[in-house]
Amino acid sequence: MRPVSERIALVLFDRLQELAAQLNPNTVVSEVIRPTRMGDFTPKHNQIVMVQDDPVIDPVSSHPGNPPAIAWLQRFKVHCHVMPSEQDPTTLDELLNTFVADVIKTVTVPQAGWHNMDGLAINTTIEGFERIPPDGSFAGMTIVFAVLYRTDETSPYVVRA
Amino acid sequence: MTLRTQMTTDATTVFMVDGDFKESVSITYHPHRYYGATLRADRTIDAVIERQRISVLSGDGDTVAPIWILHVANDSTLGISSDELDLGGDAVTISPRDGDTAERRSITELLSQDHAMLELEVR
Repeated sequence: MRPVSERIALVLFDRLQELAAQLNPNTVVSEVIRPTRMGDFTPKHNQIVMVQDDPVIDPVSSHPGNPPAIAWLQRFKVHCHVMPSEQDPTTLDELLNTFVADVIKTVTVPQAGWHNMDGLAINTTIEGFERIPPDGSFAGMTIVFAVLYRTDETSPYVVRA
Repeated sequence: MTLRTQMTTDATTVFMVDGDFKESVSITYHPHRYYGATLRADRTIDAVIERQRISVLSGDGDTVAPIWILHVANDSTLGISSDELDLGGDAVTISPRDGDTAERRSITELLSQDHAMLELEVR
């Protein structure tokens, strides 16, 4: 059994992997990465790198009990990297608009219940976008997904309603 | 002989000589093929490699990736010529650490260039 945070991360990761299965006609994602400590990956065109931010306790959504239920807000950053050929005339904005749209379209399936992350979370929101400025190597866009979930105070392995 | 031609000659006869600076095992250059463009075959090249510093990917801000700096002759046979380089897909197969199993890594930046040599960032 994995902690709830890791199970949610795997749900999001698995959804992103569907883009790498190359079923999407628009953005052919080369790979989806959760980096190791040494960052063992090489930048590629149409690559997704998924990382977590620091989890934050949400006191409003926590509730008492024995044990109490703690609500956590966990942000996941989905870095969408593009590194097109120098011969590619497609504009950077067009590449990113399409890439971001395809990520959102894929993560938000099933439409009615995508936000509960297969029953592990209370809610998930698309919190924002941040452009990765081109630095001569790759460019991209970061999509932030904020997942709100509850666990036992004494066991982050147990999902609480 | 002009300084320009001397530097060009030095790139292959000084820096890329066995037993001196260059990598003892030749590395493989994988030129990217853009859709519809003429196929460019992989080839073996000589290079001087500064190895594997871990550095933050400045764009992401919260991920790291190793960096290698490659010095190659600006030459379409023995090294990589500046006019054929494509920073959107070209890659090399190099050993991450000396003696380690070689891995394919992207060429991400052209750090400097002159008529004789190119300095490339590989990640």
